[in-house]
Amino acid sequence: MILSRFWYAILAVLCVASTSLVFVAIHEHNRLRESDTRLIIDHDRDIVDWFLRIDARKRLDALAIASGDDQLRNGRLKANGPDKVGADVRDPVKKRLGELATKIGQLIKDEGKGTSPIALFAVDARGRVVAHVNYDRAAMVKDEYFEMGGFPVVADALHGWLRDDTWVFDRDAIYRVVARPVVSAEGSPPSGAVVAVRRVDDGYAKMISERTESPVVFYVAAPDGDGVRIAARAVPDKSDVNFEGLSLDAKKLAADKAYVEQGASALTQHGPMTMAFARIVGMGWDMGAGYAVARKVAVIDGPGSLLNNADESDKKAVPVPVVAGVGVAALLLGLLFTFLEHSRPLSRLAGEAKKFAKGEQDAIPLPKLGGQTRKIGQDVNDGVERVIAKGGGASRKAADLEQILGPVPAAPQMSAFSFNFDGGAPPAAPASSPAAAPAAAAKPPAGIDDMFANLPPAGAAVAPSGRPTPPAAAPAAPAVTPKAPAAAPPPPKVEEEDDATLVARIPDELMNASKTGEQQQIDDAEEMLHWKQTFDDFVALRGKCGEATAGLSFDKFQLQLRKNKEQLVKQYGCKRVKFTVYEKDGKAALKATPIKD
Amino acid sequence: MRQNQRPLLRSLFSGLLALGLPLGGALVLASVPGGVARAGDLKVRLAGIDALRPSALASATAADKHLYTLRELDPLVPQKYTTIAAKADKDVTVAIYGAGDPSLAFKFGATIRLAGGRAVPATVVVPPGTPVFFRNDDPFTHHIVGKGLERDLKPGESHKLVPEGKGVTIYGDTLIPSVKAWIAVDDGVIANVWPQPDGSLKVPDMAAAEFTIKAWFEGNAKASTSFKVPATGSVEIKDPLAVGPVPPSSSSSAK
Repeated sequence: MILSRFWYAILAVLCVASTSLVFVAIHEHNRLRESDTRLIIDHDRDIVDWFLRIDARKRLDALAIASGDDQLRNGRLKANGPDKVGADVRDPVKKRLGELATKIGQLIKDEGKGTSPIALFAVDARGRVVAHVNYDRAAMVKDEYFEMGGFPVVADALHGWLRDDTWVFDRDAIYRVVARPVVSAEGSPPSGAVVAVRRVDDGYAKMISERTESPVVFYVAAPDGDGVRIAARAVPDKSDVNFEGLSLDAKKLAADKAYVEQGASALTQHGPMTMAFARIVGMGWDMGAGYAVARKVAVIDGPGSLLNNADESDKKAVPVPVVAGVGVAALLLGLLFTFLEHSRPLSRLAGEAKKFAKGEQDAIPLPKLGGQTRKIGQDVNDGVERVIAKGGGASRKAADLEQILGPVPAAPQMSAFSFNFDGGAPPAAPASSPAAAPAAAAKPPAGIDDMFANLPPAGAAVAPSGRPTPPAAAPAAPAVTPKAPAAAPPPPKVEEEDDATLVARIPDELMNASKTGEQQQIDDAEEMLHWKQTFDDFVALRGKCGEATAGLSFDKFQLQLRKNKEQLVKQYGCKRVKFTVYEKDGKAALKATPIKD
Repeated sequence: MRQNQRPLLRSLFSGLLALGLPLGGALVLASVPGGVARAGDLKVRLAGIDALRPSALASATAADKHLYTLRELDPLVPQKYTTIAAKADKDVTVAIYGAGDPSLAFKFGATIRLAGGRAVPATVVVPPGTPVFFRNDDPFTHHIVGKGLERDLKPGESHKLVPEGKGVTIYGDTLIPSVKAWIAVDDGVIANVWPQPDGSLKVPDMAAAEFTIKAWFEGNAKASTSFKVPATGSVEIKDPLAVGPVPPSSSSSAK
């Protein structure tokens, strides 16, 4: 189940990573969006500033058709003479001004539909207004008193200058003004001026917002006023900015040093909107005229609102094949892992159990199983064993340690791996261990008594029938003369006392058998080698499980194995028995598996 | 006596019409002590007006005050006409001093019109106790501030002000910065007159007496001259009354 669990872990990690990613992405988005929005607002302010400058230039250029108009020029010349301008002069000029105002509005694409159209004024050299059209304040002034010569922009025009200006009237009305001189004869002073005035109303603000894509609001914070008054406002169609109910604080503007001195404020927050303020160049600069641009930072509140602003194009941007491919791949991997680690082992277990049920095999073959199913097979086999045992049959369960080795002494009686460095005889075995005594006696008087030293000599270990000597004959082993120390092969050089790195030397009997070609001897030797390996594994596992290993000897061990083997061979008619070391309930245990082949 | 005064009255009303000042207070009304008067004209020319720079307009053309985004010279206009200078008929006031009854000329007080984004005239010179009216002829609100005055003047509204004491007081407009007015209270003033746009000044029907005229600009007497109107004939002052630097070719003589 490693792959499945690993896959689950991967999925969990991916889930956690995805969730974290969403939050990180939202925060990053909001942070970047905020900084970008602030940058955009700054740019918006510059864009509107440039728009106003360019707009002034366009209006001034368009006004050239009025300053060069012969009819207006003649009318002004007539007006310059008398102290009082008569209707005979005013009316034709007024009519012509109306035509020119329409033409100029068309030229600069500001026809003032629904709002204030361009107002035109014809001014004589003395600053008197000869005629005017479209002036929203016309009702408040009498023609004979109407003058404009005191305004700097008009005074400049009367002295030959083209210029723009911004007027603020009544603390809440802003007018954009351009004026040009009218020259009647080459080399003569201007005979008058033409002035074009456009009130900054909602229509004008809308024109700006549409062309700059910037929400813009014009205001007047008159120095002697009682607050900030909104003159005009407009937002682009798709903007989420809303100026309704906007209230501006004149004191805050006055406290902004950059705004007062440079004309551009720092960015400030007004509810959900970030705003930037700028003073309008012209007479309005000192009269508190200004404009502000605003943007709302499109913040994502959380994962739940992540897709609130997604439109069709966003959805179309999803690489469906890639996403679907990743999903299908993940699904297939999950299914594959489940099949490999769940379905297939279960299927195999089911198959073996079926064979077991049909009697095709005596037990569930554990080697064919793995993982959890092996445990299940093991439990089934154990259960069967237990039932057999209850019925009086021969138990097939793993050999019990006590059965094999007899009572394990608490204190070591003899070490099968003891060393004798002084060349003397090994310590005498205690009397209580009769089996150990011959083995001890068989050891060479000098040299290392290693694990292979306990193996029986090739000839002595083999019974006449070709089978190993039964355990009962074991005590006769001392009759076999051990090899002389000089003739004995040198013990393997053990550099490290690490069981895991020991390399078993080929036993002499196996070597001899291979030389003589006696198959039985080879089989016996192989079995002895297998038992020796089993013994080593058993001792190692006991040590790993914290059980005592002192006093264990291969002689007793192999005698018990032989005994068990004979019993199993008799019971099952098998040829061989394979002993396996395993851990059971925290203890080392042995099990025997009959092998028919 | 009544017949003798008719020329003076005619002069008053014709002057009012000429200058467009319905409330009067702006024309010569010189009367001889004892009631004897005669018709004699004064002709004088003011020079150096082109050298006067109205402070309101001069500051409005400064490049460093954020007052415009573009200001370019029209190539068709000769350079000599491009300097912003005082308007003789609006910025320069000629006050007449001498024997006479100021109550005739200032019967309705003096009037400063707020028109075209400026004060017309920019300066009035009145004897003590003479009321000065601020009248808004513009189609928008002015807010006049100065000694003894601070108020909004809506279109068509007037405000009467009687200056206290003598001296010059300046009045400004917090809504229209180009509006500046000076009220000078001076003894012996009997009338104010204003030259034509070209700087020429003609005061008709003056009484036979000695007079002094002073040309005021922005609250300052820039030039003055005295003359005597003879029993018969007119007076023409040959030397221009220089309110500013004038070319050296000018000469002076009085007739």
